[in-house]
Amino acid sequence: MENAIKIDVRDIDKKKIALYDCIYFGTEFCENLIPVYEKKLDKVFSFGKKICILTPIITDKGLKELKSLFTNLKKYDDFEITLNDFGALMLVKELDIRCRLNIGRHLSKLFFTIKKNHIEVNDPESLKILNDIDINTFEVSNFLFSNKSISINLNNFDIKFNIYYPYVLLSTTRTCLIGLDDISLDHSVKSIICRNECIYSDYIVKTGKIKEDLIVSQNSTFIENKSTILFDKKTLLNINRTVFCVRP
Amino acid sequence: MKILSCITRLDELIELKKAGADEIYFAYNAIPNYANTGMFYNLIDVRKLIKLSHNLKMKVHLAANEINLSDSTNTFLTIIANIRKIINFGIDGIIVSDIGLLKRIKSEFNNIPVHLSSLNPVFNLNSLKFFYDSFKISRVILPNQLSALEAKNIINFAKKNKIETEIFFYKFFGCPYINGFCMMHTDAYLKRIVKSEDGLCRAGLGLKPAKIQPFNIAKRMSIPKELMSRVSYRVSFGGSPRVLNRASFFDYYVLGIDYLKYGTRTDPTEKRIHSVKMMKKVINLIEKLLNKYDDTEKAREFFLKIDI
Repeated sequence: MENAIKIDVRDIDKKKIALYDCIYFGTEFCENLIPVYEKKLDKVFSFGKKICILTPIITDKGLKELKSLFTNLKKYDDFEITLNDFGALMLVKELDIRCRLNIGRHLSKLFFTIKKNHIEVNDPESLKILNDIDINTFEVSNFLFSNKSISINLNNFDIKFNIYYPYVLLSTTRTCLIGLDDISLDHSVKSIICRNECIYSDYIVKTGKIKEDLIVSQNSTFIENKSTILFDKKTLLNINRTVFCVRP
Repeated sequence: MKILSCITRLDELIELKKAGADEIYFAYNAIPNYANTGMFYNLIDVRKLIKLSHNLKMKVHLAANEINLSDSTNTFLTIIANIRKIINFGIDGIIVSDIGLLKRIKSEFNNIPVHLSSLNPVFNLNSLKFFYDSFKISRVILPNQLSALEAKNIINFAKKNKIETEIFFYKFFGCPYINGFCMMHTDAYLKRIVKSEDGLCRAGLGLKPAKIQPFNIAKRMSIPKELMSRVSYRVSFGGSPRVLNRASFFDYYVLGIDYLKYGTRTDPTEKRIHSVKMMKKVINLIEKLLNKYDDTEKAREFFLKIDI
């Protein structure tokens, strides 16, 4: 099983990276940050590690920017791409990029449902469609919260999981929870004008509704899973890689 | 622009027609559908619904748009068998989100039009091409989180390839959290203190905002004050800004969206009828303004001034 680190683009820590087999790099949630990551591709590849490029849900604006990033990517070796949009999958095929493709945390929700104690396959036929185009790795948040959490044996399916920890993704908005001015009823948006205000900080949200704190980072909401059950070999089935997230 | 409304009871049909609905869609309990509510429970009623709708010259579609098909007491074979029965009754289309079911339907019943649900959202042109090339979808229901001007290329491609387009009405829908990918209403990981139907997208309690605290602060940066209050408001009272608004709706109309959807099956009949009437009123208003003014911008200006 591989160990990967999803790094913080604001502070690329060489010492932390050295401890891991693979670097996860890119914007998993927001298309407005695609250019920010594209600028640092050279630096990240200079560490000589395997790189997994994360990509978000995209509009046509993001499609253009992703095309630029993917075109740039072609000059490197030894990378994978994590996809959260079928349009991005089409783009990979269009540009003839040959690399391993993973289905990211957003898109994986169409294929798997996380329940309290286990993970369920939504529809085996859907997995087969992806299998037929050589996609059999899915990325999910660590859903193992306690000893009572059991991962279902998915050995009947030819699939592997990459599991992110410690932040569990709950939801994503298209416009930002942090940045961006409010949009009036009279304004028909051509594209989101982003000031990258998410760069300052993430936020813990304490609510009287639940015992856990919510965490808001960029345009997404998380909770933290502090359980270490992930590292109990008895519970590990079909797991290809763990991905430690420096930041949500 | 035509109106598509959900229907949960036979006796709503005529009132929906009078209110202005052109097409209807329903759910049947033995076929997994999103929210699993407001369903028909026997095939006799389903058959009657289809027959009566056609008598009124209304098309009728089936919602088979649940994402997790395994979360059902029915096997896949049973689901397909039930879909077959309903197709034989003369249904006009099926609304689907799961790609496995899309594939099964296309291979078993090639001629039935398939509508791609917004639960498997299309945000860009490539994505629409993927679904069109792979499954020959007949209609795409665009997500709430995409504005009209962002959807321009999608709409143009759809028109060229005879794919119908559908949006939700901005006054009743427009959640900023991406549907199909949202777990703000689930208790899968949580221990509730207060049971709330609002979900965690409204983390505030009543009028009281949730407390927020920055962490992972970027080095050598200080957080602007207005940012903190903005985050507090958004997480407490319903999320980030909405792009599907009045102005975007007007632009969607001008760009030629085919259908306007009313899709809340949990609403009581009276509210549903009233909502469809309002949608019809707004469509008529835009048509009137565009006929009155040669200049689309002028029509737009008037539309935005009117209190709806």
